[in-house]
Amino acid sequence: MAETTLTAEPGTAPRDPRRSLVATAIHRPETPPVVVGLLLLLLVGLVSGDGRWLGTTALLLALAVGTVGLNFAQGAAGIFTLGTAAFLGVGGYSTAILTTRYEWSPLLAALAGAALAAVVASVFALLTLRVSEIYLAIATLALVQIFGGMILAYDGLTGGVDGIPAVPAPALFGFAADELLELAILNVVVMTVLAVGAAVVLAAKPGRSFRAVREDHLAAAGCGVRVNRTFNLSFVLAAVYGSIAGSLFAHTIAFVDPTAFNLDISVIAIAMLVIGGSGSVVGAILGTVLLQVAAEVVTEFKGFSNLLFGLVILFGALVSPRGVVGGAHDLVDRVQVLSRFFRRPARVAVARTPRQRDAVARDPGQSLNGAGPVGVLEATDVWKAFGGVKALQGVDVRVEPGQIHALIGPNGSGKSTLINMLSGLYRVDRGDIRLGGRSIGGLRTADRTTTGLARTYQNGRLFKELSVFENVQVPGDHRRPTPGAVGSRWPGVTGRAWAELVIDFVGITHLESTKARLLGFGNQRRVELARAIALDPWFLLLDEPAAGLSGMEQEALVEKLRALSGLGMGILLVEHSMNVVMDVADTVTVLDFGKVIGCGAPAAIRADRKVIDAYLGVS
Amino acid sequence: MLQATINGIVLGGAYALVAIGFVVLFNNTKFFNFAHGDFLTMGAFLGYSFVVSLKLAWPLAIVLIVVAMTVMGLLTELLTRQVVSRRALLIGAIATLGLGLVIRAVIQMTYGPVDLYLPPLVDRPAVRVFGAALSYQQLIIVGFVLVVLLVLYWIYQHTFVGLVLKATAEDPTAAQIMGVPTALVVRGSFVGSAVLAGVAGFLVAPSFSVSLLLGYLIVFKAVVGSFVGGFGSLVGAVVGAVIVGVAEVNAAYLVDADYRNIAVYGLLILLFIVRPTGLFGTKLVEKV
Repeated sequence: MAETTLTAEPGTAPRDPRRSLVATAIHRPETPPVVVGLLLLLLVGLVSGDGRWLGTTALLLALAVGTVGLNFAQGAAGIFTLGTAAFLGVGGYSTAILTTRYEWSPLLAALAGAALAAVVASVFALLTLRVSEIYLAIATLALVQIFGGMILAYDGLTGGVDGIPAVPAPALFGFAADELLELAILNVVVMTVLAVGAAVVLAAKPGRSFRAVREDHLAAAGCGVRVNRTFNLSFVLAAVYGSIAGSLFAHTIAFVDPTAFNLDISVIAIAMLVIGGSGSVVGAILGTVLLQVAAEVVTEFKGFSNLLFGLVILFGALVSPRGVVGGAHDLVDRVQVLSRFFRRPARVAVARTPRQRDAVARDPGQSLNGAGPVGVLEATDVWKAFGGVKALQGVDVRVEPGQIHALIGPNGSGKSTLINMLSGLYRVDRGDIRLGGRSIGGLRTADRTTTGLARTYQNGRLFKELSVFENVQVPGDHRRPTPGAVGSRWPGVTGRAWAELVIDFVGITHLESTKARLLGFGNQRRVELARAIALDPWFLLLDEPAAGLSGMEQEALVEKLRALSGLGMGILLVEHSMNVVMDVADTVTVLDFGKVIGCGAPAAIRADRKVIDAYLGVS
Repeated sequence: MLQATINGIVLGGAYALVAIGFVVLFNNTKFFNFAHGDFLTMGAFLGYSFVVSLKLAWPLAIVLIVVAMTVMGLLTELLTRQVVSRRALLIGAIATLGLGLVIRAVIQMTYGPVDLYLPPLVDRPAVRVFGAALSYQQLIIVGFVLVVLLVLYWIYQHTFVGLVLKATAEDPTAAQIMGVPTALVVRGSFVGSAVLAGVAGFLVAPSFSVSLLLGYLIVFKAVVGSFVGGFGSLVGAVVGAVIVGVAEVNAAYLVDADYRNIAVYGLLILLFIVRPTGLFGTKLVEKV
C-alpha cells in the first residue's frame, strides 16, 4: 500500500480501546431514548394525582410514537410527507372497529392495523415515491383526504361523522389497563421500546442509507444505496409507527371520529418534529412533549389558545429552524470548529501511521495486474445526445486493471458525460458498456457499484450533514465483494474497521467525527476519494480529483493513485492538470467534440499534432 | 350534466385564481405557503364586513380587500424573509402553518365561532345559456378570472417585468447578478398571491359559507389543480384547476356527494402514477 502519506498529525493514535464502561454506554444509540423514557415515566408519576395532566401525558405519549415514526421518513430520509393523519387513522380505526365490533384482543387489533398500514404505505410508495419531493407532499395530502372521504363513505363500518365510542381499555394476557395511570404507564413502555428500536435502526445501516438519500440521492446511488427501496422503507416504517400511535390514541381517549385524523394532525406532527429537532429520535419525543404541553397550557387562556399555539409554531420554526436538539448539535459543532483555532498548528509531515502498516500487512499482495479476476472496463462505440447536442459520438475507451487511464480534452468535449455513462447516471443512446465481458449498460447506478465500479464527482457531492466517518460508512455498507468473500483484498477488515482503514489511507483520521460541510476544500476532496474507495471497487472513475488542490495536495493525490493502481484497481482519471496526467497515467485518451482524437502513452500523446492543436497548445 | 359541467368550470375558475397565486409565489421563492388558504378565508371575512356590516358597494369592497391583502402579503414576506433567502422549504411550510393558525384564531376572536352568510353580490335572476343557468355571481367570477389571466398573459409575454419574473423563477442567483432586483420580485410575489387569494375568497364566499375552513377547502383543490396541470406552469395551473372543478362537480352529480373528495384526490394520485410531471410539466434533469 502507500509508502508515504500526507497527514496533518504524524502518527495519529488509534482510538483507546479501553474506553470506560460509562463512556461506551453514553455513545450507544439506545441510551438517549431510554433516558427520555425514564424521565417521562417520572413525569407520569409526578402528575398521577391530577386527572387532566395525566390524560395529557398519556395522550402525548401516544402521539410521540407517531412523531418518532415520522422522523424515519421526514427527519432521516427527508421525505416531506403529510400522510401521518392517514396512518394514525388506519391504526385508530382498526383498533376501534376490531375491538368493539369483532371483539378482537387489543394487541391483535393493533398488529392488524400496523400490517394494514404497512401494506397501504408499500403500495402507495411503490406507485408515487418516484415523483419529486413537492409532488410527494401533495400525493400524501391526497392520501389523507381520500382516507377521510372513505371514513365518511363507509359509515356503516366506521360510524361516519359520529365516530366509534367506547373503545375498550387495552388488555394484555388478562391484565387490563383500565385506570388512566396504568394506561399512561403502558404508553410510556410502548413508546420507549419503539423509540429505542428507532434509534438503533437509525444508527445502523438503514439509518445511514436514509440520511444518505436525504443529503444527495445521486451520490447515495453512487455509493450502492438502492434509493427507491430506501425511501420506501422509511415511509413504511413511518406508517407502521403511525398506526401503532393511532391504536394507542384510540385506547387513550376511548373514542375515534374523523376530526381526530384530519390534516391538522399531520401538520402538528411535522411541527412537533421540527421544533424538537428533525432527524433525532429524542428530538421527536421532545417536540411532542413541548407542543402538547404548550397546547394544554394555552387552553387556560380561553379564546387565545389557538393564537398562542400558532405563535409558538410560527416563531419556533423561525427562531430555531433546526429544533431544540439540532440547535444543541450546532452549538457543539461550532465549539469543535473554534477549538481547532486553539490547537497546536498542524504540521504537514510525511509519515506512515501504525494503522497503515497493518493495512499493508493485511494486504495479501496479490496484484491483479493483467489477469485480474474481472477483466477490463470498456465502453464501445458509445453515443449520447442531449437534445441537439451530440455529447458523445462513437467513443471507445478501454480501462485495464492496475492501470491509470487518463481522459483529457477541452471543456465540453464529453469527459464528464462519459463518466456519467460508465457510472450509470445516463443511459447510452447506442453502444455498449462492459465490465469483465459482461454488459452493464442496462444496470442502474447502485447495481453497477456491485459489479465493481465507484466514482467521484467533479463538484463534490458529499453528504454534507453527515460526519466524515458516516460518509465513508455508507459505501462501506454496500461494499463489494462481500467482506470475507473470495476476491476481497482485505478479507478480515469489516464494519467500522474498514471505514477507519479507508479514512486513514486518505489521511484524515483526525477529522473523522467532523461534519463534511465543515471541512476545507482539500479535505472534502479526500473524503470524496475515501468514499469511492470504501466500495472496494475494481474500477475507480475520478472526475477532476486534483482540481483546486495545492501543489502539495496534488502530489499526495498522485501517491494515492499510484498506491491504488498498485493494488490492481483500474483508474479512469478525468483531469485538466497536465502535470498530474503526465505523472501518473499509463495511457491517455483525448476527447474533442465527443470523439476520440488520440489514445496512447503520455509521451506519444504529448507529441501528437492533432492533440496539440485541439487541446494542449504549444508552449 | 351540462349544468354540472358549467358549474364545474366556474368553480375551476375560482380554483385557478388561487392556484395562480400559489404557483407564482412558489416559482419565485420555492416557498410553499400553507397560510394561502387562510388568506382566502380572510378575504371572505373582510368582504362580509365591508358588504354586510358596512354596506359598501362590492367594487369598493374589492379595492379595500386588495389593500388589506397587500399589507398581509408584505407582512408575511417580512416575517419569512430569512427562511425564503435560505430556501428552507420545510421551515417555511411550518412557519406558514403557524401563521395560518394565528390568522384563523384572530378571525375567530373577531367574528365569533359561527359561520356567516354572504349574499350574492348582484341580486338578479340567473342568465340562461344553452339551457343551463348561470348566476351573476358566476359571471363575475368568470369575468374576474379572464381579466386576471389576460393581464398575467400580457405581463409575462409582452413586458419587461414578465422577463424579470421568468428570469428569477429560472435562476434567482443568475438573475440577481444580472441586476434583477430579486428582493422586489419576491415581495411582489407575496403581495400578488395574497391579493389573488383574498379576492378569490370574497368572490366564492356566496357559493359556500363564510367559515374558518373555507380556505382549506378551496386551496387544497386549487393546489391539486396546479399539480394536475404540472406544477410550476401557469397555463397548467389554470387548465388543471378547471379539470378539478369539473371532475368534482360531476362526481357529486353523477355518483354521490360523499365521493367528491375521493374523486378529486384519487384523480391526482392516478395522474402521478401515469404521468408524474402533470399535463404541462417538464421533467427535471439533474446536472452532475
